[in-house]
Formats: sequence, structure tokens, C-alpha cells
Amino acid sequence: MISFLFFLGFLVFYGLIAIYAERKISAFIQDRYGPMEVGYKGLLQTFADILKLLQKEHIFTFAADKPLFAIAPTIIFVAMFAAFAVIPLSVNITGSTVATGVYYAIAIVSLDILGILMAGWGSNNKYAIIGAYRSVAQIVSYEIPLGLAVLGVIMMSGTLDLQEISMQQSIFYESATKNTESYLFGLKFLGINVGKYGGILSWNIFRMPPLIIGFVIFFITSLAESNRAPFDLPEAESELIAGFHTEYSGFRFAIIMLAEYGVMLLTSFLAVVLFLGSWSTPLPNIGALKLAEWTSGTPGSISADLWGIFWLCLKAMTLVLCQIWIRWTFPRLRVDQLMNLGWKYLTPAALIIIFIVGLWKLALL
Amino acid sequence: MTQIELYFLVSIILFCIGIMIVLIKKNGIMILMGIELMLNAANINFVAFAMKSPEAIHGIMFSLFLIVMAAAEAAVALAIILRVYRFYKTTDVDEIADLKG
Amino acid sequence: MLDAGTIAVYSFAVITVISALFVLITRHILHAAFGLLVCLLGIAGLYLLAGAEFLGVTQLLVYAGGILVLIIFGIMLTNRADGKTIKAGNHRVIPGILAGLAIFLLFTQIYSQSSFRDSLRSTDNNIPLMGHPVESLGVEIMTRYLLPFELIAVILLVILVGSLFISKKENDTN
Repeated sequence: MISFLFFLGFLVFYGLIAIYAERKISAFIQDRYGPMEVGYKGLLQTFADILKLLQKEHIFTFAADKPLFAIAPTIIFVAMFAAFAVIPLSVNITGSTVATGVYYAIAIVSLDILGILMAGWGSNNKYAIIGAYRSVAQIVSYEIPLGLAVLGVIMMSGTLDLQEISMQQSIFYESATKNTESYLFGLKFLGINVGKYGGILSWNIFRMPPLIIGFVIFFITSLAESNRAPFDLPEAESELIAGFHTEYSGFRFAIIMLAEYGVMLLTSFLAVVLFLGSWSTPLPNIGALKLAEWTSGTPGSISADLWGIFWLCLKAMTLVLCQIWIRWTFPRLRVDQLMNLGWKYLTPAALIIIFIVGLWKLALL
Repeated sequence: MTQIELYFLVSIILFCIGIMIVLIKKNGIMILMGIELMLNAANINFVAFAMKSPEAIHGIMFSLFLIVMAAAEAAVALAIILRVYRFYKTTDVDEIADLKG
Repeated sequence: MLDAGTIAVYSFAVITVISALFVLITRHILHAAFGLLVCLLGIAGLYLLAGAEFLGVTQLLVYAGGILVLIIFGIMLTNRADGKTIKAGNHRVIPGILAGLAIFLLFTQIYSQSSFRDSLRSTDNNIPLMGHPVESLGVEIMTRYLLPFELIAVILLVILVGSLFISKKENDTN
């Protein structure tokens, strides 16, 4: 319940911040000022925009399939938001304790495709339907490398439960139920158990170095999943106006935009939980400097919650910042280049990573 | 009614609706949907029997394999429907009555 | 008696049945596909409440995220998007309904005559719901069910190649 309320509030707050940040960063990259009029340096610009969207009329085009058109934004948003249920916030706040956590998250996000198809078909507009086709083709193809990249982590940790995966990467590793020994770079013969040092050394990408490439694959596919540049073909504004949400207006448009930014946040959270140490601190214990213990709080108390949420959100926000930065740096791919990248490079690479992780775990760990 | 019996009832109703869809609808894709409903009805039965005993994991395994087979079946059926549509310009099963295409 | 779990089971059952009926009744084929979506989600909920967590999530991923998308793509590709709503016609309505009802009666009769009915009735409420842990599923797949598992992988490959071959364009020489 706590995590539900937290994510609902955080998502709205994040939406406001992220849209403002996106505008300011794009302005910085393109050597402009960005929004400057409303509030100090345009800080209130997003609020003004939301206010404008809420007041607008809901326009149904004459030939639209009204039930599909009306319900599609809800499905897109619900599919995205339901996945937040399994994300752990700290050592105490576990979210929904399902044993199939990460599998559930990937499955429920894939429902988003159906919402997009409904929106595209319901609009009865050629740009919308082309955008929906492209979006679905892209999400379905990139789900495969995404799932395979996640599979590497699951093989390494031996569980699907996100809280369990988080535990293994923190200095509280002794309360994890399995696989509690983690060695530096996954090399057992060095004999350095990084669990008690904690910090960055016990993150999955350092416990199992091949996962660094796995993380890169996950990050690239997460860009495609959230339909962002360089994979923003579904809503390529120079060709398709706005893709599947061309015909939407007012509050429904706001919901679709919030869902798009929500998918960015969700994939960032998942990347952090799976690869970058979840809610654990990045600072290791160095000799007498117990940095990891000082910045983790004590389990069961409010200090652990605050530190956990702080680190988790900080890492996720850094990834979101990277996504925005990439969007305004790279040009858009063509459809064939997109499919080439997904099927001919990312999928085989992810398979090889799984193979290497398996061998590494058998031979060295 | 116990939980298992409720599952049986849902399964029977779904199966009958699936049969009716297959018999009544003209469109090839609707018939495919009816078949999916019947497969799901069978799956619910397996799950219902596996529900109350820890040893009965076979039911779950059978359902898992059945889901995979359903996916494969849907892929082939849709490929055939696409092919038929390209040839006859319709997916209405009543109009696809010619032998020797 | 009416705890939250029971209410959830009944509501999922009702959702499943009503949406399946909607698929049967509606004449709009794309609406039927989305009725099927609700039906599949309801079935996934039933699986979760039966302790088959992994199966429920698989149902979500494969049926709702895979098969249904395929079906909707099929609908969109086989119907000209000329602005008209797509109707799915009916034929043989009365015999079809009669056949469905006959099968319903047959199955309920079989169940009420069955030998396991009384044992299920008498013990059902006393036995706690047993979940099947994900680990045991994984172990079973890799030990006792290894042969079917490998076979299904081969079948999937055959299906992939076969459906590509069937659906490719005729004048496509590659």
C-alpha cells in the first residue's frame, strides 16, 4: 500500500519534472533557452500546460470507433502502472511480494501494445494506424532481447523476486534466502566476498562482469520499448504527425503522455533493480570508513526506507536523464535499420551473454 | 459451490461458448477465437485439478505446454487465413468453397 | 464465508463468462477481439487465485501479449480499412446454439455422475490452497519434462519457418 501511494504520487511529480527537464535539456543541447516565461526560468511551464490540457474539449472524430478510442488511454496507462506493483523501494518496503516479480512486470507491460493498437485503430486515421503498426512491430521485436537480457540476471541470482535480487546486491545480503555469497567480479578463487563491503562492488554488473553488456542491451531495448528517439518511429513527427495519438486531445492526451514518460521511469527502475544494485548504496565500506553502513540505515527502521528510496530514485533519475540526453543527440533510425539492430545484433548478443553468464557461474562462481 | 466446482463450471461454459462461436460465426478469425476459448477451457480444468495438491504439478506443466502449442497453432492458422484472404479476397468460410484453387 | 478471496474468485469467473458471451454476441469483429482480451485477463486472474502464479503470468504474456496481438493484426490485414465497421456475419444460428446447449448439458451430466465429485465436495474446503513454487516448476521442466520441453522448442522452430513460408507473397522469389 505504501509503495502504491508512493508510486502514484511520484509518477505525477516525476512527469512534471521530466517534461520540464526534457525541454530545458533539449534547449541546452540545441543552444536555446527553452521555456522562460512562466515562473522563474520557466519552472511553472509544465503546470500551465497541464492546466491547459485539462480544460480542453475531448474531440471525437466523426469516423472514430468511439468505445475503443475512449478506453485505449486507460489501458495504456493501467498496463504501465500495474508493473510498478512489484518494484521494491527499500529493505522494508517490498511492494507486492510475488515470486514471479520481474516476469510479471515484463508481461503486464506487454499489454500496453493492445492499448496502442486500440488507439491507432479507433482513431480511424492513416497516420494513427501506421504509427500503431510500427509501434507494435517495434515493441514485439525488442521484447525478445529485453527478456533475454533480464534472463542473464535471473540465471545469476536464481530468483524472479525483485526484492530477493535487491537483497543479494546490498550489504544486507545475509537476509537473502539463496545465493548469498558474492565474490568480486564473480571470481571465487580471489576469495574476496564483496557482500560485506557492499556499495558499488556488490552490484550485479560487478558481481558478474558480462552483465555490463547485458545492461547496455537492456538500456537500448528500453529506449525502444518507451518509443523514444532514436527509436521513435511510431510517433515520428516529421512523417506521421504524432503516430497513434494523433487524434487525441485534452485529458486523454495527457494520460498517454504520462504513460509514455511512465514507461521511461519503469524501465529505468527495472534496470536499476536488476543491474545497478537496486536500493543499495553505491558507496562501499573501506576499512574503518563504513560508508556503506552509514548510508544504508538500519533494517526495519525509517532510516533504511529513506536511504533506500533516495538511492533508488537517484539512480533511476540518472538513467532517465541519459534517456533524454540520447533522445536529443541521435537521429531517428529507419524501419529496416531498427529491425536489423533488434534481430541481427541485440538478440544474438543477448543469447551470447546468457551463455557466458551460465559458463561463468558454473566455472568461476 | 466449492472453488474447484466453480472452475469446472466456468470451464464448461467457456467450452460451450467456444463451440457456439466456431459453429455460428462466418469469419475465419472469429473461428480461431472460438478455438482459443476452448483451449483455455481445457487449461482451466487442468489448473482446477492441480489446485489443492502440491504433488499435482503435472496439471500446471500440461497447461504451460498447452499455452505454447496454442501460440504455435494461432500463428499457423493466421498464416493460412492471410493466404486464403490473398487468394479469395475474403475470410468468410462460406465463400471459400472452391476446390482446385 | 464471503472473504475477499472468494469474492475475487467469483468476480473473475463472472468477468470471464460475460466477456466470452460478449465475444459470441457482438457482430463487430474487432470488439470481439477486445472482449477476448478481457476474457483472457479474467482467466489469468483465475489461475493466480488457484495458486498457479507462474501460469497466470504466462497466460498474460503469451495470450494477451502474443496471440491476441497476432489475431488483431490478422483482423486488420484481412479487412480493408475503408472506414466501414467490420462485421462478422452469423450462419446456422439455431443449430449452433442447440449444439452448444447440448454439450453443456452433457458435461454437467458427466460431472454430476462422476465418481470424484463427492470426494471433491467433501474435502475441498478443508484443504488449503497449495501454490506451486516457481523453483519446482523449473526443476521439473529440466528433469522429468525435458523431452517435451526440447520437442516443443523444435515444434516452435518448425512453426516459425512454416508460417513464414505459408504467408509469404507468391511473386516473392526470395
